[in-house]
Parts: sequence; C-alpha cells; structure tokens
Amino acid sequence: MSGEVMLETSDLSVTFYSQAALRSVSLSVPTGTVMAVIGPSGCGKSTLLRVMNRLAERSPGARITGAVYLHGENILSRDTDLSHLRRRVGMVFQQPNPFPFSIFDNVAYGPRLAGERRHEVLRDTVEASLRQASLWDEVRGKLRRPALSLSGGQQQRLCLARALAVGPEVLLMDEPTASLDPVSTARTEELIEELKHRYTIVLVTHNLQQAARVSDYTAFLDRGILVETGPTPVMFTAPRESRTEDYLTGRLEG
Amino acid sequence: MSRRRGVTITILVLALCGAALLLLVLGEVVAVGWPELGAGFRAGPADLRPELFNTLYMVGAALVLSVPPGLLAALWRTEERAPRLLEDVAGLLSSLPSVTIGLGLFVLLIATSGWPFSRAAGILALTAMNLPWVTAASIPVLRQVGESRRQASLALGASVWATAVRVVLPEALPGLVAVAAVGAARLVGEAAALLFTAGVNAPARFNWSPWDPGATLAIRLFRVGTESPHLNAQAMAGAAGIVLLLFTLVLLGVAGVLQRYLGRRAGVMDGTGRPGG
Repeated sequence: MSGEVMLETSDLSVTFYSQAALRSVSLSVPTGTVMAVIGPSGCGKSTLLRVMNRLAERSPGARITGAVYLHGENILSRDTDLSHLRRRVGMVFQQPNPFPFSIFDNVAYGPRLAGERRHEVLRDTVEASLRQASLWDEVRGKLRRPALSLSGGQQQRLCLARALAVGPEVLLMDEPTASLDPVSTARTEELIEELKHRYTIVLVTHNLQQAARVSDYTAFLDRGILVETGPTPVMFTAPRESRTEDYLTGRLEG
Repeated sequence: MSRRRGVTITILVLALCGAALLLLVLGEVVAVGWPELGAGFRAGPADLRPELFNTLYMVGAALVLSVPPGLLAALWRTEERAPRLLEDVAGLLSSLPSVTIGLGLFVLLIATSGWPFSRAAGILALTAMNLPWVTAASIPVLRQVGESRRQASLALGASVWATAVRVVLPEALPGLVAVAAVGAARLVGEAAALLFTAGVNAPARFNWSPWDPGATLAIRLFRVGTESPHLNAQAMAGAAGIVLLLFTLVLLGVAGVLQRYLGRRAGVMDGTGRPGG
C-alpha cells in the first residue's frame, strides 16, 4: 500500500430527475486496496459505482455534478473517451450477465472490440483471464460451450474473467455475490483477496461480514451521504459516527 | 374449476366460429379460382406470372429500401435514446390509410413530375408504407433485449453502436425476422397505395425495367374482379386470390421456421433466465 490514490470523488452529487442519489460525496480509494461500500438499500451505493465507469448517466433523468479523478484525471469531463475509460475501469454486476455466446467468445469480447484479431493472442488472453478468475480448470476443453450452460457461480466468475480480459486497473463489483450460494460466495471472496494485489477494487456489498472479511477500507453511505470512511478494522470496531454504529449493529431504521 | 371450464369452452366455440367463417370466405375464393389456376401459369389472358413477378420485384425492392433504415431508426430510439417523438411519429405514419400515401405520391410523382405508372413509383409507395411500420414494430422487439447485457457490453468499452451490432441485434434477430415477414405480407396484400402509383397493368413481355407498369397480384384481383368484361373474370380473380394466399402463407411459414431456428440457436438463453436490468 503505497498510499497513492487511484480513484477519488470530489463533491460528487447525483440526482435522478429531482431525486438526490448522492449528496456531495468525497471519497478516495488508495491504489491496490479493496474499498467496501456499505449502507442500507437505496443509499446510493450502486450509483456511486456506476459513476466511476460513467454508466450512471445512461439512467433517465440523471444529473451529475462534482468530479471523479482516476490517477488525477477528471473522468467526468466532456472529452473523456468512454471506451478507454471503461477498459481501465472494469465492472462485475449483481446478476451474472454473460452474453449468449460461447465461453471463449464471452471472454474474448473486450479484446476483440479493442481490435485484437490474432487467434493465439486471444487464446492466451482468454486462458490467463479464466485462470485469474479461477474458472480455467472447470472449463478448459469446453470453451466452445454456451456460457449460459454454466452454473450461476461459474457464470459470475466468467463475467469476472471477461472484465479482466481487457486489462483494467480498477474493478467495480456491484454486490457480486448477491445471487450466489454460500460456497460460490466464499470462492468469490477468496478471489477478491487474490485480485487486490493486481487491481484496485471497489466492492458494493450489503453483507457486512463480507465487507469485514475482504476489504481494507470501508465507506458507509446513508441516503446519499458519505457518513464515514476509514480502514475497515477501525470502522468495524470503533466507528466515529453513531449512525455508523447503529447500522453496524443492525439498529438503523429503513 | 367448472367456471373456468365454461370460459374455456366459450372461447373455443367462438374461435371455431371465427375459423369457420374465415374458411368459408377463403373456401369461396379457392372454389371460384380453382378452374383457372392452371391457366394462370400459361401464356394467355389469364396469365398471372407478370403480376407474380411484379409482386416479388416491388415488395423485394421495397423491403431492401425500408427495412435497414427502419431498423436504424428503431435502434436510434432504443439505443441512443432518440426523442420519443420519433416513436410517436412512426406509430402515427404507420397507421395512416395507405390510400392517402398512394394519392400523395401520385400527385408528387405522376401528376406533377411526369413519372409513368410504374414499378418504381409502386416501390416508393410500398417503401413509404413500410418504413414507419418497421420502425414502430421493431422498437418493442429491441426493448425486449435485456438491459443487463447492454450494460455488460458498454462496461467492457463497447460503444453504443458496437453494442447494438454485437449484442442487441443478434438477440433480437428472431423477433426482427417476424417484423420483416409480417411487413412483407402487408405489402404483398396492399392494393390501395399501388392503384395510383404502380398502375393496373403489367408489361406484356417480361423485363426488369423499373419504368414499366407494375400491377401486382392484389391489384389484378381487384381489377379483374371488378372491371373486367371477360366472361371468366370471376374465376381469374379467384385464381389471383389463391396465388396471393399461397404466397402469403409460404412467406409467413418460411419466416416462422427461420424464427424458430434462430431462436433455438440462441436457445440456451431460455431457462437460465434473463436477468432483469
């Protein structure tokens, strides 16, 4: 942990029509760490994640103010190349969403978009990405099978491999285990532990134990406001704000 | 239980009545036209081949001219969030009486600009009819494609249009085939818009010229059935009706098979569920 900042939001506010989703959030994510974002449903966790790869602005009525810096560069600026940004900032969604293609074509989707045509290069990228997502041993020799024939947990790891194949620096994970069984969940958490050495990870979760297990830092959002952020062990044992403590002990209404 | 059964029986009886009525009408066409059907494929006054060719020629050309831009307009609305106005206007235009499109083009092209009654004018009329219809009918098909896979594609750095081509269109293809087929069937049966544009004659000798008259099967049915002094006119109209019906059935049948094939190819999708956006 060099203390270098990978991602930083500054005075970030998001409204959908006139409904505030995020209110003046300023948060920084150090390079090579896992930042867990926790908070009650509808607190703006997912919105925060979707601003970081600029998917949020696709939602109807979205208005975004403030700044999000990636390596010090404001990605909300008008002349940001969205394709380039999204290759640097990958995303894994709450529900596994593989394309109805083969396993191989799913993982090769990003590299092909970026113009890679050489089969050997694609094959190597696909294998390396599947290995990193610890799916390789289960699917080797079956790469031509439809991705949708995999189990839910495998599909989610496939989506992770697909995101890794474009070589991102940051991984955004939106409740990646919400639809998985306990075994797959444990597996995904181990994966996050391994991946954080190579990627900076922002993990939205409603599972507090998961946040405690895998994250280095935690941010607590409530009704669009960043209530508290800090190193996870400190926040879970000695939160500064009473609201955080209430949430952590399950006493928060709504 | 018994009430539900009563409803089922009522629906069944009504459906049978409807089907019987339809069969009666269609049966009449077949009965009248059958004796002349053979003559429809031999040289002579009852020859249907020029009209059959015109139908293929003009509907084919109109589809080529209308489906790609109609689909693009629909994609523009669903993928690029083009203003709602586009959808409303397409819906409005596609429900205009086709005879008004025929009249408009007649005034514009034939009365004012000196075009002949021709295949070219007919193709334009059919294109004008089909373009808004394809747009309006494709929009709901494209909306069926799961938003979550669109987002997955965008999140991997794909542009909106790359996502449309690689994710949205392949998944929507079976539905779009149905849209094109029903559109084609509408055009095959169209008469009103063609009366003023393609005209009521077919060229005596086979040729490809777009400036030759372009009477279709539907036009022939109308013309021969209402205006011809020929003794056998009813039967000749009936024969045109049979060919028209068969043509439409084959068209929709082929589209149905194609649709099922494409659907099955992407079939693994069913069951695994389409995660909501």
